[in-house]
Amino acid sequence: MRKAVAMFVLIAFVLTGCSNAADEPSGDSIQIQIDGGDISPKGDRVETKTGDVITLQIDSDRAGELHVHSTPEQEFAFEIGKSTIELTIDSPGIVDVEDHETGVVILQLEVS
Amino acid sequence: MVFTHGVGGAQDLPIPAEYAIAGACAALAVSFIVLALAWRSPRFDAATSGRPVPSWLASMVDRPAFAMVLRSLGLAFFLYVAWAATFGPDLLINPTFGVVYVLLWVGIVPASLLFGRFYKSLSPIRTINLAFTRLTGGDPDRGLFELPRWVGYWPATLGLFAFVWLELIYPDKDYLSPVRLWFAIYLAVLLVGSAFFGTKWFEQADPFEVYSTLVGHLSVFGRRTDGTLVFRSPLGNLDGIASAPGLVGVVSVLFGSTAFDSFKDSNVWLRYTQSVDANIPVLNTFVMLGFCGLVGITFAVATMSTGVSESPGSPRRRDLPDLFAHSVVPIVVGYIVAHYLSYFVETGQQTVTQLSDPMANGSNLLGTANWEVAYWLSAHPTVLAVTKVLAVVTGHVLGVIAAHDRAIKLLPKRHQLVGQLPLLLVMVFYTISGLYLLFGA
Repeated sequence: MRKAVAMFVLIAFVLTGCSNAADEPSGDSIQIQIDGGDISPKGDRVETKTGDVITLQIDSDRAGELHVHSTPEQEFAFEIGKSTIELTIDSPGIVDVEDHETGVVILQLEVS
Repeated sequence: MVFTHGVGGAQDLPIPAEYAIAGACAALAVSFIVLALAWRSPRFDAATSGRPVPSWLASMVDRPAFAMVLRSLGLAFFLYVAWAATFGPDLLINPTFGVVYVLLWVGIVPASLLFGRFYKSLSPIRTINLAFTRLTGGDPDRGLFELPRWVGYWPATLGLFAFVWLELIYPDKDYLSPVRLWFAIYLAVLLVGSAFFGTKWFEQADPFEVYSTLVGHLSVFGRRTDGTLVFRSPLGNLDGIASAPGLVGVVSVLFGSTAFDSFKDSNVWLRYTQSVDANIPVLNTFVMLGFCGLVGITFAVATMSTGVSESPGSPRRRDLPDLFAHSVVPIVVGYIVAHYLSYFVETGQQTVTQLSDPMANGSNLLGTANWEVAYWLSAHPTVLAVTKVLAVVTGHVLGVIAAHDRAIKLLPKRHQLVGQLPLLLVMVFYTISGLYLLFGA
């Protein structure tokens, strides 16, 4: 009986471990859709590590600027159409990625 | 270039769940240990306790010249920042924002913990009032009218709420003109009030002075009723907070608004406010009022749900919330430390460098313009998280002990144990909610 329980727990761990790994949003590349004032995502948390390269793939109908509230702050301009921004965060913390024009926080990078 | 967060870059990572749970368990356990085992006759008496400080220190501090030096420093700093706020560029590199939101609002806590009633000694508004009454030949302490007793700390409660509203809710708080307007109103209300009611008005209406005096009671410096400057334990000192109507209001705004600040930065609230079509500042104002109100109402209910003595001279039931409110001060301080530590250390350093160049023209007036900001705390999230949990739990323990001592002083013998139970539970609720907010950041 005890053995069966242990086995069950082990299997449960393995399964949840696997599904977690599969569900994990990939911190490497994130799609951002900008349609005037309508932006998606709207403040999703994305877990990442210090020093990792984060790629933002932007599809926008207007030009604009992203403010990355890391320490120190960073900013990136984007054009109409598709563009790609690569950034890295050097120190741990929660970093807001904000569209300058609307003030919308698009992403919160949880950098550990 | 204006960032919404303005002052300060990245926020702290959430504290790990196991730290939050360990902190909560410790708080719960210690609370009941205090209730079960602590002393049964009151220990703290700020009127007489403490060891007199060495005579050289007492004579230096009590000398009028010492007060004059502090007053001049306070006034000089005020005029310097007023110059930056009036003639400096309306950009985030203007030191005004860092001075107001970091050095003043957060720095008031460590300064008062170290030196006692720090703001009262430096307060530029007191100095202006002093100079004015000296010119006109009046007595600064005496006003035209006596302030009614029921007024108590309610003006400071309003002032504190007005400040946290500017800091946490007003969308344009990172522009100079709203900050200047806020302080113009602050100066006007305090100066006119002091003309009517004398310097007592500053003790009850100046939000910064009231805050500093409350936290200063957790320092090791205190005065007995006869004025003797003494060293004593922070808990003994805390007993000396003057209870007056509205004290509950002050501590509720301090704790409620800080909790609201944590909540407002949470991912849940961010996503909610970005998906609804509502007037966010109005919504936030109601939510912040709700947080402060929840603290005040739970505290009042908890302190009043006890048996009281009917004999004349013993405290009335409705006075109990203000008579116990001093015990929330350590809880507030613990939570403020947890909430603001990295912000104060890092943005504070940044402000000190900005202070050297108030006109943003490349000058280095104070010699600090080229200082490098050290981000050691942010780079060590584990140290930061442990410090935060320790601060919250320490504040909780001090608060519970202060409340216990006050309960055995005020409540009739047969209600002492059961009577402090509701308050204990409310304090546990504050602490666990605080830890939860730090965990859910």
